[in-house]
Amino acid sequence: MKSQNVEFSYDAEADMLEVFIGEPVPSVFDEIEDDVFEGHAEETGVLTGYKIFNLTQRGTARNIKMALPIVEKE
Amino acid sequence: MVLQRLFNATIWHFSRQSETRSFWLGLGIGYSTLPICRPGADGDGVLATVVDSHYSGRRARVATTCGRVRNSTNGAGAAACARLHRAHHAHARETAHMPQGDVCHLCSLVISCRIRLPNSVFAAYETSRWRFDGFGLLLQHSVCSEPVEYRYFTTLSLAAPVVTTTDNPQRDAFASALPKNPIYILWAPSFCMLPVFQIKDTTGRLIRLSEKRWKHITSKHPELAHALDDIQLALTTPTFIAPHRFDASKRNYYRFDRVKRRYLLVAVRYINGAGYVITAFYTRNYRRR
Repeated sequence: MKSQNVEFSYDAEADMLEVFIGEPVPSVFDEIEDDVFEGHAEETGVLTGYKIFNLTQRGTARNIKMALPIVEKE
Repeated sequence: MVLQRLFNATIWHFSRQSETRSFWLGLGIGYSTLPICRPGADGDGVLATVVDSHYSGRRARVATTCGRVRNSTNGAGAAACARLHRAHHAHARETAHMPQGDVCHLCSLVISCRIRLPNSVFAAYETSRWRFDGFGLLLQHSVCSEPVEYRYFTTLSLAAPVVTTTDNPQRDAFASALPKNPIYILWAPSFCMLPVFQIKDTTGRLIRLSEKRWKHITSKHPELAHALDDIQLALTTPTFIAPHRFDASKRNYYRFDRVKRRYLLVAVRYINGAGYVITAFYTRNYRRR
């Protein structure tokens, strides 16, 4: 499996956490929970990232499930 | 009324310390009774409001305060403003590019100088651009000696600054005494950048997209690199607007793209009766709340 970079970007002003997986490709982000969007590549359907709005206002009890790729290094 | 429009203008919307803490940066010169900035309350409790402007020798000075004293041009209000102003100027001495005391970091004071700067100063500018922002001519320069994002000088040069008005003879007399073609130098911190666009949305709010956010959007969403017009359309003629579940100050503007058969979502945060674009991307669904 090819390794991918995972980039976390938190915008404090917008209170938005963005997770980008791999190189940027045209993607579609669908809302999977309230204010949480999951992105998939338009062509391949591969997971490309997440957008979590209002991260700090969601409350500590709320779990956000993210399927981040984990690659085992040889 | 060109003169009044120029001098009574809110020039642009910028922030300090972070991109979205909002101030209105005003410009003014010469009129002790003319408020320059738009008064009002800021969501963060701060709004630069001009409370006094006057000439002192060769220099025009516009005093602002951070919303604690508003529209006070005399009496206790002006005295309070002056105290605030002096306190703020303790920080101004860190700035080397302008004469001491002419820049207020805390309230983002705008000082207009009537002095002409030598050409060597202008030679230090590496980029410039200008536009009419609906209020007046706005030029923006960056300085060669520093990173582009670090410090911006804005120069407003009025080719014909003296326009006779009829509503205030005293002011007209004062205006006619102004020199021809003065150069007004405004200093603004690094975060003071012109927006990519500023547009009225379907609700009448002024929505801004900053350059920094636009760069971020296009770097992470290559499909939006040429979708600036679509983003503006989503704001002006959205298919529908949906609130955020966890923040009442944010809205998602959805506009259906018939070709792509999906929605363009533009997330906006409202502040001070205006708003700014947080991000934008394509989505296929809408989660009802």
